[in-house]
Amino acid sequence: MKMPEIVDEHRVHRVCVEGVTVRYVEGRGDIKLTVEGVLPSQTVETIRLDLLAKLQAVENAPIDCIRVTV
Amino acid sequence: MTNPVWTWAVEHRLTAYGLNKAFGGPHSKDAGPCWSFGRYGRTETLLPDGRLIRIGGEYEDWYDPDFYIYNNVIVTDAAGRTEIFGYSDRVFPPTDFHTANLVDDRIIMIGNLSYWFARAEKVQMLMLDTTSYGISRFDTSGEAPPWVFKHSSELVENGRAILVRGGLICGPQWPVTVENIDDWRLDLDTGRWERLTRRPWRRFAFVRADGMPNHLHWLGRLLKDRARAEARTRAVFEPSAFAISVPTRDWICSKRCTRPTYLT
Repeated sequence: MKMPEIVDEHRVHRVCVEGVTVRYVEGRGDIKLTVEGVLPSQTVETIRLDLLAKLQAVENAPIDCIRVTV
Repeated sequence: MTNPVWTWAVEHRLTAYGLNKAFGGPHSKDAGPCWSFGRYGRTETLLPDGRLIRIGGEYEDWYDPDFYIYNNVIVTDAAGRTEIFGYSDRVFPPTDFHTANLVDDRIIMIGNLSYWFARAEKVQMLMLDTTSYGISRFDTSGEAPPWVFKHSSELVENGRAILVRGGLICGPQWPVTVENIDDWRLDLDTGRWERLTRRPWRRFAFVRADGMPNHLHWLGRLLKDRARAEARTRAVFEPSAFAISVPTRDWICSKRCTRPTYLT
């Protein structure tokens, strides 16, 4: 389910998946995907692959996906 | 480093562009960046005695010939007198988008964006002595945050600790900057960092394998323009719209629509 965009926030999009907010932040050089909570690994993988496939189609170019851990 | 030109620029709050223009100076492409008082990512700390301490900051972006990240301190006292202090890069590296917390007669500077080649693994920690204006490293232990900037830092526990939240983090080898989603506490008595949270959020960054920028911004603009144009087209050519007023060429042009679409 798509969530409403926040005023003064640009190029940030949110969807709600099983009660957890999934946030997409568009940058010029990268797109960041953040799952703001805990979801089953399979669900996260589906979300990740969905974005990867769409970006590769839009860009018509290979896309690298980097897992961010701090 | 106090001098009449920079002091005048401070008093008139001039940017590099404005200062260079005021003096008819050479183009910064040829002469290098002009000094700027107007900056982004600078901190301003007001001391109890009325002194205002402005630290670091940067002017414009990398593509601008006046782009520069500053490593100086501008002090304006309650009477309006200004002094400017400069440092070697070794003592005070170019620093922007940091935070400044006044603790007794010291200002604790946390974080820095800086030039990409100057970034390190861990957060930059410096300390300004407000009596001598000397800057020194603030040595810490424990689990320090990564290289953080554009964050917030809040003095807590009656001034015995600083809480760092939000902002962005990156490292020297990281391909992208990412949000800081965790909270970090610095104990000012012991100088020990403590990581307060370890949020189990799964995060990914997607970049083009060829290193080129993506087209999402451009595509978004195109889709928005198209949607706007379609809405205007409908509004303009609806029979009811004609009944009220027929749009003129000037009106159409003033709406920044794509002229060929509307006038053909």
